[in-house]
Amino acid sequence: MSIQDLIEKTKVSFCQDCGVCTGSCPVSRVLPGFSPQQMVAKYVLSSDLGMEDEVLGEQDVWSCLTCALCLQRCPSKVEYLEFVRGVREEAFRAGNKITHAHDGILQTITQMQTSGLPQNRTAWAREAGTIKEEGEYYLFVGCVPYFDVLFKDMGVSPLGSASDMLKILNKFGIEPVVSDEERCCGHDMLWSGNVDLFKELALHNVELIKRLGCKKVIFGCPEGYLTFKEYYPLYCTDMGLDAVHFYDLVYDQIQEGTFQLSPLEQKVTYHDPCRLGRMAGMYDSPREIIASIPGIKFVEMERNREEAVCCGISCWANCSSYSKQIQMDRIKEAEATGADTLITACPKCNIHFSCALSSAEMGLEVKDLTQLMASAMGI
Amino acid sequence: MTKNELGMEVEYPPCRSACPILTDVREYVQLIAERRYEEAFVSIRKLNPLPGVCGRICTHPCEVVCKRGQVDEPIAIAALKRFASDGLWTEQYKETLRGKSTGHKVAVIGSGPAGLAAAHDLALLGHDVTIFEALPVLGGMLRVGVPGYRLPKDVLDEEIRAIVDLGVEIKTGVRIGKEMKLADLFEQGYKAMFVAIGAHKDRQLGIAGEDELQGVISAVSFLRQANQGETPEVGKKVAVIGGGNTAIDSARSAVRLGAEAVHIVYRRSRDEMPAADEEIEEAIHEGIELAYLTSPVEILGQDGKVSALKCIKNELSEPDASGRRSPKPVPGSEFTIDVDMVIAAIGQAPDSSFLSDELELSERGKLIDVEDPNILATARTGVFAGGDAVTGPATAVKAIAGGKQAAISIDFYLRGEAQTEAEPRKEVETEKLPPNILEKTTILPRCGVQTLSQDSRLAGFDEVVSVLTEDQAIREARRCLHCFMGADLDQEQCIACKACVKVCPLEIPTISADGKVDIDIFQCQACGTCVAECPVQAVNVRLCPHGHIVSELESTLGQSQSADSLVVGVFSQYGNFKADHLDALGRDFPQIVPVMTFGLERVSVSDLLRIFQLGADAVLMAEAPAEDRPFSETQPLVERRNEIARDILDLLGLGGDRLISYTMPQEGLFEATWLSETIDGIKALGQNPLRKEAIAA
Ligand SMILES: Cc1cc2nc3c(=O)[nH]c(=O)nc-3n(C[C@H](O)[C@H](O)[C@H](O)COP(=O)(O)OP(=O)(O)OC[C@H]3O[C@@H](n4cnc5c(N)ncnc54)[C@H](O)[C@@H]3O)c2cc1C
Repeated sequence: MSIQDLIEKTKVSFCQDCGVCTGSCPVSRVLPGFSPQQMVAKYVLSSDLGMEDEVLGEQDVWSCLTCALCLQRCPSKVEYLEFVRGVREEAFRAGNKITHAHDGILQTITQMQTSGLPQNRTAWAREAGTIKEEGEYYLFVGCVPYFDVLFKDMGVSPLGSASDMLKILNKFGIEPVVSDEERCCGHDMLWSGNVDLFKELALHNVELIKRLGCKKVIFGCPEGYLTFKEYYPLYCTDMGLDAVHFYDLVYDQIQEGTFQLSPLEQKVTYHDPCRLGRMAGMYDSPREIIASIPGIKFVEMERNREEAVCCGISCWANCSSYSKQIQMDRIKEAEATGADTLITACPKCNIHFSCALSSAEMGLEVKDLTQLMASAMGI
Repeated sequence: MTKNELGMEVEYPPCRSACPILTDVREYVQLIAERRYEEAFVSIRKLNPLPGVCGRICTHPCEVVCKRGQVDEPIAIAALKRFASDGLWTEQYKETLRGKSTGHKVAVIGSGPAGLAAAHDLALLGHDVTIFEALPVLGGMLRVGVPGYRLPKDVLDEEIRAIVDLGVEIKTGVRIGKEMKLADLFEQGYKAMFVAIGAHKDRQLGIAGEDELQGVISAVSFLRQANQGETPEVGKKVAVIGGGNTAIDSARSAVRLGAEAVHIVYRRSRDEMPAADEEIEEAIHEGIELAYLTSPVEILGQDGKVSALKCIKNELSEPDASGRRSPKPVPGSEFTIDVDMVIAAIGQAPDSSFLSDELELSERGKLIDVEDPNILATARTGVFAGGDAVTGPATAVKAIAGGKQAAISIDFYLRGEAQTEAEPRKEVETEKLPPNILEKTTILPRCGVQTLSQDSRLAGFDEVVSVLTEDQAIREARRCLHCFMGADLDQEQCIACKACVKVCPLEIPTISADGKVDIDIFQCQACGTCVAECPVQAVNVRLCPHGHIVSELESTLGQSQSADSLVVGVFSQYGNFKADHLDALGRDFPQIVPVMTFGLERVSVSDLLRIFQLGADAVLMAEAPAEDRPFSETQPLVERRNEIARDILDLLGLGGDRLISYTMPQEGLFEATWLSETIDGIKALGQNPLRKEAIAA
């Protein structure tokens, strides 16, 4: 889409130049010169002058965290996120390269999956619990088997969470289908402007899940959930599949009182992932789950729910000292609550906070909500 | 900090800063370590028209400042230069840069290293150069001073020939100032001239007997005769007076010409002796006696011939303000040495008397005056001067530097352009390495030298020191500690995650209380471990920089499409193999595409995956034998990365067994039977399904 059309479509021209977005933006606080409002102005101007190509090579488009905090507050309802996504598509097309963290290994893995390699990514599930070849529920495992290998040394255990999730599902009587043919959900490709690859992944995954006869797709990862729910339909007509977040399932079961939780003596706070909170609107289920654990003390951070601050980086783009500042800021906020544990509901938030904590001396632990749940269930 | 060609601030390594012509030592040493000998030669030759000469007789100020010298011994830089210059590959070298003729005639007076270097550079700039030389032979002191056992005449001939081949005209047997004046040259149409007449006049001893007795000779005359194939009359017992290289050369030449006993008489102690240490050692080895703290008082004679040398013992004073200790005669300590020949080697000065009417000479009346030592113009317009004639007796490489500077200045002058003041060269001191780095750096002994047997030495003027073998040269080059090629940290990018702090085998990165990481680029040896580990690519090194393996493969893998299997071999340059072994690899295992890197610790997991993405059926990670690795403690880390890559390959369904790590044998790149079996095993795994796609892309 041309920048001009994009400006039209995302209501960028309604911008009143009030600066609320810049005032809200966590990146603007730390990265000198970065401002959503100015980026918008820059593209509007360049489009007026017919000079889009010049600005499409600039790096600031990758500095945005796409965390949606500005979107939340914009009085003109400018669709800033869609705007950034569109600009990124054009920038990617123009050959503008992102600096990816970890030397781009995660992008390489996605690309290699897409080339049709016969993956071997479900072995853990056979060990952890009961799965089926076909059935109503599909468990979308996502990247965690790869994360597990790459970030083991950081002390995180993304696959541990996945195993716990499967075990809990089994307890609820759900024996989901998992598949070696599943590929990356495409979230990072979508937000890196590589829309062709994203489409390919989306179509593949939808076709696969349908072929396996599933109707409901369970996600533990906010990114997969959001992408499937909001962005797959943009490219896959009549999907006929329901995206279900694991925490909603758990919450239902809690309300039905189907299981017993043993007490945990912990004081915890909860970090809303952007994809789960602001973008998918899920604030309550995680909090209800925490609250249902006897003995646990829950405290909110100063900035929570709609106002929560991003973990500092998305789609592995442009991780730098600025990301670290955002992370440390958030961690200090968590520490200030007096909590001993920072609960996250996203494997990436978990990795990012664990990374930041690994070089800081703080008495704070980062833990995945599913794993917390599993301990309370005695799993 | 110095600016490079692009105007960027770069820090020269100490070896380069110390070289009067700023030879890119690190570069050519590196190229030798990579077995790229021809390129190493080109790197040297493009700056220095006398590489074979300098490889043998350069006083190598670079070695004095070498960082490796703080750990054990400096890199044998001169020996490596000789290795690069002695090989057959040098014949490939053709000067390609000769500019269009400018039509300007330039006269170079004197054919020593200063004159030759100037002629070379001026010819390349397109000027018509004529060298005027007083002697019948070319080369200056390199030919008539330095003896053939240190610098064989044919080496010099060859290098002079290449300069002459650039179209330089030669007029020997013309002493400017005598047969022809500078004014005559101007009249003949020479627009500019470079006076590089060296320092060929010996200083007098100033003692009784010197002038009248037969058997007293100046070192310059003696060596000139010896070097021009004349056999000067040599006594049975010879005293050489002086402590510099000229004294040693005279003594060692006298021994070769039949003297039975040779004494070097020097007024201070060995510590103060200006001659190169290795030269003194060689002299002692050849049976020459050294009388330290001894001054000649009188030459005694019989029948008009030398019969003995009367000497007196000295003691050294306390160091004066400049730190020099001067010799003081000890009263009553006179003694005599029986000799029938005395060679005076106590220093030289230019033979500038012929030019005194046309040029300004220094106060002391001998050296030619230049207005700015960085430009080398004399007071007379169009006349430039350099080399020993300006500096007094110095070194070949300083003379070459003078010649090169003169060429630049003359070119400016001829083009009628104002010359920007050259910045005076500053003495740089090599930073001191802290004790923990010294301790952690693997000691690698400096290469020994192979020398002629005593008998063969004394039988004539054959070259004493042999060129390094390929094996020695590679090992020697690998001792380089890569000053300033190491970790360059981008503070803005750095997330202070401490990955570098944790993995550095030398424990160089530090993190401050406020979370700022610092990596000392001089201490760093560019092993690249941190580069492969840094999650945000905040750090890079200049030796085999980040991503070099993949980008090399991107360009080469395409060409290997047809092979039935495609294996990438990542070989550590620290393995003990030679150029031949590489040839054999290409011949016997064409399916292996080799990439070379200095240590596998710089290969990241991402690199490994990308190689598979490019279509490799398998990757061999070929580690050097433990004793050849400078950083052996990184081994577990390298293995851990391989394991991570294997786990991911397993998840991707390619199979971790396609990543094969092994240690190279004591010699060579691989063990042939093992490799054949391994290749069969790889074939059995089938083709990498990504290969077709990679080729299409
Ligand atoms: C015995 C000895 C050993 C040495 N060993 C070393 C060593 O190991 N390493 C090292 O780096 N340096 C060494 N040196 C020093 C080195 O050789 C000199 O510093 C260097 O050669 C000086 O170069 P130049 O071009 O200035 O002069 P020279 O090499 O002296 O050349 C000057 C040339 O000018 C000619 N000439 C003189 N007057 C006239 C005139 N009026 N008209 C025409 N031509 C004229 C001379 O004949 C001579 O050929 C040694 C010197 C000596 C004497």
